[in-house]
Amino acid sequence: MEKVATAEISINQRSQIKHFQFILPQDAVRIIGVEHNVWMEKPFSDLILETNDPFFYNLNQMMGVLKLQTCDNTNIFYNRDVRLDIYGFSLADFSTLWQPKCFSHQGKKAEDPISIPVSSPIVYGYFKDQMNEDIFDISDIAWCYRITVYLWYETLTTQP
Amino acid sequence: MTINLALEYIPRRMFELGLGNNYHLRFRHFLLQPAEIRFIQSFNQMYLLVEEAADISVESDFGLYDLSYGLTNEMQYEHQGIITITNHSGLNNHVRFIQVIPNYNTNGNN
Repeated sequence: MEKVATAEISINQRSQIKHFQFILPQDAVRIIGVEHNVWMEKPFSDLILETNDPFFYNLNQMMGVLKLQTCDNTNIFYNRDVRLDIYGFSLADFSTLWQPKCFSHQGKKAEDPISIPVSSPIVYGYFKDQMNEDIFDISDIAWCYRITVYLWYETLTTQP
Repeated sequence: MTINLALEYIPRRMFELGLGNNYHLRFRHFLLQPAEIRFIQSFNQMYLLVEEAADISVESDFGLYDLSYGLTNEMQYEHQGIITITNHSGLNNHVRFIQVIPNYNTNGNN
């Protein structure tokens, strides 16, 4: 049976580092996927990151680095850049009337499939903010955002 | 983390990692020059910080230890990978670790 554990991280200062922890139930046997989602608490300024110029390609803004580590011999099993996946869809879109979004163009990131056995139920997480380091010099504002991490796992228990 | 706590912690941690008693311990005492930044390669090894060192930051893939850094919610005493030790003081500074070196050759499973 597939289940999911979630953790929410709030970033509100530049270069912030957040540690968090998942405690999986005793019947968890395998971690099968990781997924994360970014939610901005303040809207971006158009001047910094977004433009209507169809020839201007904005890379997806990197928010930070997410790492997950088990206590057993798997150790660090997930190390990935977390990106805000809303840019890059407007390349060569000359309408400028409507900005394509990830959910309108099937660009929403899916879960990262992984498969590791769980012998220790504790999973440590680490997130380091990179976004505020990148754009702090031009905006002088610490951008606030929340990241939700979803850890998918399998249990021995079958669904009733 | 004190040395006694580290010595209590290491066997349990090695057992969790599936290594049992197959590891070596070394006590490492680093002397850092003013503002020195030192890189330690610690792949397949583990460094445990055994004191609350002041004016020192220790950063690795596992996290950060820096008593002067207020932007984190936790300090990390266990480090692996490339460890960066920075002396923020204008004077010489000391930092002590216990280095755990797994002995992979003695265990056929590893």
